[in-house]
Amino acid sequence: MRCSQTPETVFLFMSARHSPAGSHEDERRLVERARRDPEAFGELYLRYVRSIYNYIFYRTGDPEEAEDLTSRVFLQALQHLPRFQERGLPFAAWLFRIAHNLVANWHRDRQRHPIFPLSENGHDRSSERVEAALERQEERERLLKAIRRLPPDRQQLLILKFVEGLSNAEIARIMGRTEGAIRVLYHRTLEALRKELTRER
Amino acid sequence: MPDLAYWLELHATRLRQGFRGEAAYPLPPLAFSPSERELFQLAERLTEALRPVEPRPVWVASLYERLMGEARQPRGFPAPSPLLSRWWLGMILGTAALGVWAYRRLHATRH
Repeated sequence: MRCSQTPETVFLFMSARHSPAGSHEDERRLVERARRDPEAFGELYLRYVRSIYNYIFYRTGDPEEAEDLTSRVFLQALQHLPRFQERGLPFAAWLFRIAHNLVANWHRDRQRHPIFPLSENGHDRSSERVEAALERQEERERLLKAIRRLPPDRQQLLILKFVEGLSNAEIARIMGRTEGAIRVLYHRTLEALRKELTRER
Repeated sequence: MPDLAYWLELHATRLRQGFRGEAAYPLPPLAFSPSERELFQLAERLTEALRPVEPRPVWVASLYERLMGEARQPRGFPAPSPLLSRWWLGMILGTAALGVWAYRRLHATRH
């Protein structure tokens, strides 16, 4: 995969984002090649950038922070790739772990130095917007805020399940658990989220 | 009878397939208690709320270029920048000048 011009990279991203991740063995070979070949790392980047961006976006709720933190995830991955050891976990699991640590640090820093938004929320209250749409948007915001109050592993499960549309087997591999454990975690997460929403009311 | 976690899993699969409302339930809704039905409804709300977000393609491309730039740099010691080289040159010349000055001063004291 060779791409040095921006439009070409955009095209590769657009075509790579819906392609299947490939087999575990195929990925292992690609990771091995990425240690020496920048283009192979680029291929891994195009394969996972959307997933990592979505994960961080839903954990932070901020597109700019999502871009910044996603950049850091891949820069760290590139820097530490020589030390990455294949232990049966997919490459994505490693990326998600880096993302998880960066998001945790980000939340910790924000608690130390809270940022107060200028407006009450991020809605575009233009006159064309009908009230029903606003209500739906507010409802969604409330739900997303409640999700962000859940423990990180439960947030990760919801993002992988609903945003990424992964099966329990795939989620289990990424999170390093069994399929049965993921099924139980999903049930408990829904229960916890319901309690969180009820408590809010 | 399988446990609720099993039914919730089937429901999530059907939601992924595009089913909504009663059609997504694995059994008729009345087979479940009101509190259990709340969980199914919550899962449906999650499906609507947690949609994939597309990162800006231009940003994706610029990060790609940045990563490629980083990846092509030789590993080990980072390549010195011209500014850093000038700093080192100044440091070496300064140290040499100081050494010459100290030597001459010592030499002059002896004679």
